[in-house]
Amino acid sequence: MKVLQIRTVEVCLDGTVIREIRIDRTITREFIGHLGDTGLLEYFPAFARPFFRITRAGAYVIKGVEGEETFRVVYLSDYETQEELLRKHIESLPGSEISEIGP
Amino acid sequence: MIYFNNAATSYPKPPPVTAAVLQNIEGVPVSIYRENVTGMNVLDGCRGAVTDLFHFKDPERVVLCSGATEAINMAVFGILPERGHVITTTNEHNAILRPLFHLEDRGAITLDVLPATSPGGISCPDLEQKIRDDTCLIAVNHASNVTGQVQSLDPIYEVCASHEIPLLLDVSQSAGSTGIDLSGRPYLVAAFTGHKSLFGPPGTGGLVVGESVRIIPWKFGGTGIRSELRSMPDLRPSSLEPGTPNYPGIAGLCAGIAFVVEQGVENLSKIRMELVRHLAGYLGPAGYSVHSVDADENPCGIVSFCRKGWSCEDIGYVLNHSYDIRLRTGLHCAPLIHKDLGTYPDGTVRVSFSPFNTHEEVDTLIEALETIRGCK
Ligand SMILES: Cc1ncc(COP(=O)(O)O)c(C=O)c1O
Repeated sequence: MKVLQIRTVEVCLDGTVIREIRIDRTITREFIGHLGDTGLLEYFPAFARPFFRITRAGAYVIKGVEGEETFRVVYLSDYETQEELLRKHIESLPGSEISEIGP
Repeated sequence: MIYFNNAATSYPKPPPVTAAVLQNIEGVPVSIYRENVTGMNVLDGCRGAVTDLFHFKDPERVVLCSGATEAINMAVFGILPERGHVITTTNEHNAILRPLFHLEDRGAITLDVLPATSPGGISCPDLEQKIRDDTCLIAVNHASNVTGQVQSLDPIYEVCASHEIPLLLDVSQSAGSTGIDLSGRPYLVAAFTGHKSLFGPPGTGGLVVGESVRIIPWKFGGTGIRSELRSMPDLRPSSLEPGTPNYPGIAGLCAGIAFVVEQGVENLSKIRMELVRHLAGYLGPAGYSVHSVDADENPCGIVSFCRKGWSCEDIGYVLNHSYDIRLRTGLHCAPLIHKDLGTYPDGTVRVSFSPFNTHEEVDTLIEALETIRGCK
């Protein structure tokens, strides 16, 4: 797994930085599970394309949709360090099992 | 793809709009000197369409420019004297707020901001009370791009006119969505944008300037006439239109206005209101908090809502990415209204309809929202 591109979507007044990460393949359940190893994973399979959110307290919130090649990261602090750690993690697949939320 | 972001910019455009833009780009420029243009003059045609739409008499008082933002800046910087007092409202878009905040921060004006979201809209007694001897401008958003609420123009205008104070009315959302009569209102200056309910291309719009309002040029450059002068020629509307106009955009805007007039503003808004009724009928009972006005008062077709336990940003992400439904979340460039509504700083999820939307599309949105509701 490779990170192809990272771009800033928004810089908020409170210092939050929102970045979009593009990877070299579509997001799979396996990849979501892998990302989920970094924080609290919530997975919503009921949507037309499943949505996921991963919260790493005090550091970032990741959100994305299965089947896309990009996802968003809302960095709550020190985004450069957090992003470097996240990039290393992304590029070191595979991940673990996930549980489902929803109707 | 389902497009519900028409309050940002309308999509799709009626086919004659695209045709007019293309025809203008492909056609040989009639003349490089604007005053010599013969035959079908795009600028005059568009000014005529604007005066017809707004029941306004004088096409020379219609200034064409790149949109409401430029029109508002033209008015704010062109009307205000060195020092003075300005009144505005919490309903405003940043297109009004930021120029005024800029002048306030520079110490050039003092500013009063009236609340505007109560059911009756802006309170005229409160407005009247805020007026001072040095009040030189009152700036009001005709229709909120967050709640869809339309302010009644008559009583607000009466207050302004009785004090001989120019009223800058931002009709960005309301133009083409609700009938606007600018006749017999010499103190009114209306800023409109072309790419929303007038169905023109982005980068078009203008300012309609009432007879008793004088606007000093704030932008300088070539006008195609009186080129020997050091200053801008004292001729309307050229004095406020320096630079080469956006001919293709203006041709498209003219076709967009023609479409609106042909279809009838009321007929188009009826379609929007029915779509609002359909969606709002689901949202409230399903536990979404709705922050926009009821369907009967919502000709602009704007529905704003939130859901406890979900950030607006996440709802927008799911709808955009999982369902391919285009809409907008956040503050919608109107930060103050969210403090009134209690939706600051997260904002709202905003669905904004065009007459080209269908009830089937609303059903698809409702299905997605129902799934969100099911996720605890
Ligand atoms: C109420 C209001 N005023 C002003 C504007 C600015 O229009 P434009 O960006 O076309 O200049 C908008 C656009 O979103 C708006 O909704």
